[in-house]
This record gives sequence, C-alpha cells and structure tokens, in this order.
Amino acid sequence: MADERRAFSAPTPARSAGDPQAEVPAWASGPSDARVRELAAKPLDVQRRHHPGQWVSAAIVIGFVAWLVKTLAENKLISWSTVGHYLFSPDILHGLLGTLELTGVSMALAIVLGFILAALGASTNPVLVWFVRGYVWIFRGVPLIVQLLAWYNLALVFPVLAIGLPFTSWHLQSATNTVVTPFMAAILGLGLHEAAYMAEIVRAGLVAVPHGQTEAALSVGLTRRQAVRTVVLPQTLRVIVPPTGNQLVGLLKASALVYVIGGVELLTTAQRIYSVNFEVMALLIVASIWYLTVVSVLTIGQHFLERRLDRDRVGGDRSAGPAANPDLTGIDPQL
Amino acid sequence: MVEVLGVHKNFGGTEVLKGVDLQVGVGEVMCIVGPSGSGKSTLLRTINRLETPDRGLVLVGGEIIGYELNGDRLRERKEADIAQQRSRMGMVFQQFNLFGNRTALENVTLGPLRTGRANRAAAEAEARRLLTHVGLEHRLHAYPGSLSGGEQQRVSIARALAMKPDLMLFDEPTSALDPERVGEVLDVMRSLATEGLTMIVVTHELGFAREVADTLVFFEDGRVVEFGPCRTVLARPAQQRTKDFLDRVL
Repeated sequence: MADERRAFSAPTPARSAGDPQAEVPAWASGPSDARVRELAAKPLDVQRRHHPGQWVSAAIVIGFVAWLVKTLAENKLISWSTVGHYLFSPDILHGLLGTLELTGVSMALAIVLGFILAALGASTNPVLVWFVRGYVWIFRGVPLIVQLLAWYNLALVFPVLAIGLPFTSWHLQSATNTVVTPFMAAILGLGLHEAAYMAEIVRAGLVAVPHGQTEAALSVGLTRRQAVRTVVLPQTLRVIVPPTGNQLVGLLKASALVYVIGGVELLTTAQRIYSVNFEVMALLIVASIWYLTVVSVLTIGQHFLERRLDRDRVGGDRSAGPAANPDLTGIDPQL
Repeated sequence: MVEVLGVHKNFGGTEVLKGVDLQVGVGEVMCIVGPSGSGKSTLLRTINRLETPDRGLVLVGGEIIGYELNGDRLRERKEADIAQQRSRMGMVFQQFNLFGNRTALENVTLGPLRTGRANRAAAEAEARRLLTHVGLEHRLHAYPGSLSGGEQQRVSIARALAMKPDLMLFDEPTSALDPERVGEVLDVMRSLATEGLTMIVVTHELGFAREVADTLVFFEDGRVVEFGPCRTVLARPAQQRTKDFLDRVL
C-alpha cells in the first residue's frame, strides 16, 4: 500500500516542473511553497474556529432545564417527602415485583411463541403460513387494552374450561375464573400480543441470514433442521436482539395497562395508595422513578449482550479501520 | 463415480437444464466451462441435490441421489439419508459461504461434529491438519470477516474435505477473488487433483483446466455442447460454437 502511494504521488511535481508547455490549471500546478510543505510534515496544529451559536443554544437549554427543576422542587403541591417515603415502601416494592414478574413471564412466552410462529411461517405448508399471518393480523391489530379486557372477561362467554381426550369420557374441567386469574389474563393479554411482534422480528432475522449459510450447512451433511438450529438461528440473534430490547422496554411500560383488570403491578399499587391519601403526583413520580430505573438496567444489559454477539466482528475489518489510521482520531468530529 | 442421466430443471417456466448427460470416472477431474447463465452452477447443484431435478437422475457411486428403488418405482429418501449422501460430496461455493459466526477451525469441525463422525478432539486435530494443508495454520481462530477472499475460500475447501468426501464439487471457486488471490486457491485444488480426488469444477480458468482436467465440458443454454478429453476439446473442438468460445477466451 505504502509503496503504491509513493509511486503515485512522486511523479506529480516532476511532471509539472519538467513540462512547462502542458496546460495545467493554476490550482494544480507548481510545487507547493516551502512553508506549506514544512507544515504538512509536522503534526497538525490548527487554530479551531469558534462556534458561538453552540454556546448560545447550550445556555438556553441549560437555563430551561434549571428552571424546570427549580419549579418542580419548589412546588409546595408536590410532596417530595411523600415521594421519598413511598419509594421503598413494601407496597410499592411488591407492585414493582409484580410488574417485573408480568413483564418477564409474558416476554418469555412471547419469545418462545414468536420463534415457533416464525418457524411455522417459514414452512412450505401454505396452511401454516396462513395461520401465522392470521395470528399476527389479529393479535397485532386489536389494541392491547381490548385484549386484556377480553381475557379478563373470558368467563362471560366460556364459563367453564375443560380439556379431555376425544372419544373418551376422560376430561379435566374447572371454572374459567379460577384458571384465568387477573395475573393469568394479564400474561395472556401481554404475551400473545407481544408474540405477534416477536414473530415478525424473528422472521426478519431469518430473512437476514443469507441462504448460502443454509446451503453450506446442508453440503457438509446436516439435515435441514440441524442447519436451521446450529447455523441459521444463532446468526439471527444479532438482528433479533436490538428490536427485542425495544419490545421489552415497551412491554414493561405496557404492563401498566394491567391496572384496568386490577392485577398486582406498580401502577395499580400507586393508584391504590393515592386513592386513599390523594398524593397523586407524588405516587406517579415514585412509579416513574422505578420504571426509569428498570429501563436503564435493561438498556445496559442489552448493550453488553449486543457486544457479546458482535465478538466475531472483533479483529475483523471494521475494528482494523481506525487502528490503521491513529491520526484520524485526533480530528474534530465537526470537521 | 458420477452419472448424470437426462437431467431437466425449470425455474418458474424457464428451462435451465434441457436434458444433461455426463459421466465422471473415479479419480477424474472434470471441468465445466461456458458462458454465464448457461446452467453450469445449477447442474453442479443438482448433483448434491441443493436443486431437485424435474426430470432425470443423478447417480454417485452407483447410488441414486435423493431416491431409493422400491420395486420398480422410485421412492423419496428420508431427509437424514439425503444428508448422508450429501456429506460424501464436498461443495465449494463461489461466495465461500463460511459460517460467519464461527472461527476457521469451528467452520471445519462443524460438519464432523454435528453428524457424529468424530469427537471434538479428533475433529479438531483433523481440522488443524487440513487448515495447515491449505496454508492457514496461523489463522485457525480467525472469524471469516477478518480473512481475505482467498483465505476464506481455502477454509471452505478444508471444511468440505473434513467430511472425507469421495467427490468434490467446485462452483466457480475463484470467480469472487482478487486476481492476486486466484493462484493460492488453484494451488490447493491442483494438489487435491494430484492426490487423486474426483472433482467436478465449474470454472472460467481455462489455464487451470488445461493443466489439471481429464475431461472438459463446454456447456451452453442448458445443454452439453461438447464433452471429451480435455486436451482434445481444447486443441481440436468438434463444434464451431466451442471453437468460437475458446477463441474469444484464450
């Protein structure tokens, strides 16, 4: 590389100097003067331009945020001591645990179902493909809050749930309301709704893995199922994880909708408390602090997971780029 | 070793293979040349059943690929049987198709490990030997993304060899490479040919064909235009079309 570059640049001044009749534009002609060449040889020492507009905009934003914080802090109608009092209260922590449980269980259900649906959807059987499309159409199309209410009120149309073996008298049955508790209704509502999104995300992941990967796996004697499991699925993760992280954050927040069916979760708990002591804003702040805390933890976790999945890029061309040109790192990104 | 009998293949109404018959003997190297889009790659892919012929059969080592005889009818083989048949034919792809999330060594050991051919220790020892053989003993733990095209293609040859195939299929193995890198891959292929491995090579490298191939096929428009001993076809092509092609390429 270095040799090529030298060979390319060397003849340029010689040609323009030794061939005066050639018509060369002023900007391209002539050897550069000695001072410029001296500067070119030294490390860059540049007088930066100032950007006064940036200082002004920064001052405006800082001023606005400071005013907002001051207003909130000095507002006598928001009882900050109440916030402090309830932040770690057993009731709120119990509600937080409920929220984590709901989010965790329904996300697990959604991921498992999402992979199954995506696998069915990728099959060559048109019946399965249409089933998956229908599932996604319904569970992504009906608002989550409607689905939660529908699961919660299932007993109105199916008072008794029973499973049995066909053509025999053996069966299990029980009242719908003992099976579909508020918790169960919330899991079904959140999980099945989320599964429709996960199915689409996994499908995108499967599409993103080049078909050559499957063919190569088949060519070394793997069956189609082995090829998908050992070669294709692991490579979908890089595509699946970032949107799944988004979905998880969305699901955490959506779990607050469960208050309409009275499950045990953070917002329901906060509401129950403020319906007694009327500290509405303080308890909403308590709930928000916890939601933000959990979201932050999830975001950090996602960052590390993505870095781990990217480890096969380490040592690849991407990381070799900046290392090969260490001088570039000193350049102001604004340029 | 390989018999291709009357193979036809359609892709959405376009007939890509229009009745192909070919034979390759044990230890022979056959090169298939011809213009792009003539069906050469499809033909190669029907041999290890990455494509299913619409008509005709492929036999490898006397065994029908993809079917078994049931009385005087054909019956589809089980998926596991087809996988087993495929594993006896190594395939090298134009775009390498290395498993992107696995190191060079893991790429080579995956087949033997997943098909239960070898335990980890044996598979790794063999993979090291093969990667050394293709000159990559210093890149065992590199991911495909950090290997050059030529290195990737040599890993993919090692990956195919790890299954101890009776037959190697090469689908334009040097067409996606830098001109400077073509030689290193051809060197490996040349040494495989000298070791007596049966090979079918779809290629544009006529120099390689002249040097290594026993038989040469000129393929165009889904048909075998000319098929014969390599020297004869190159020196005295029987068909005017073959002569035109060779004149233009050589």
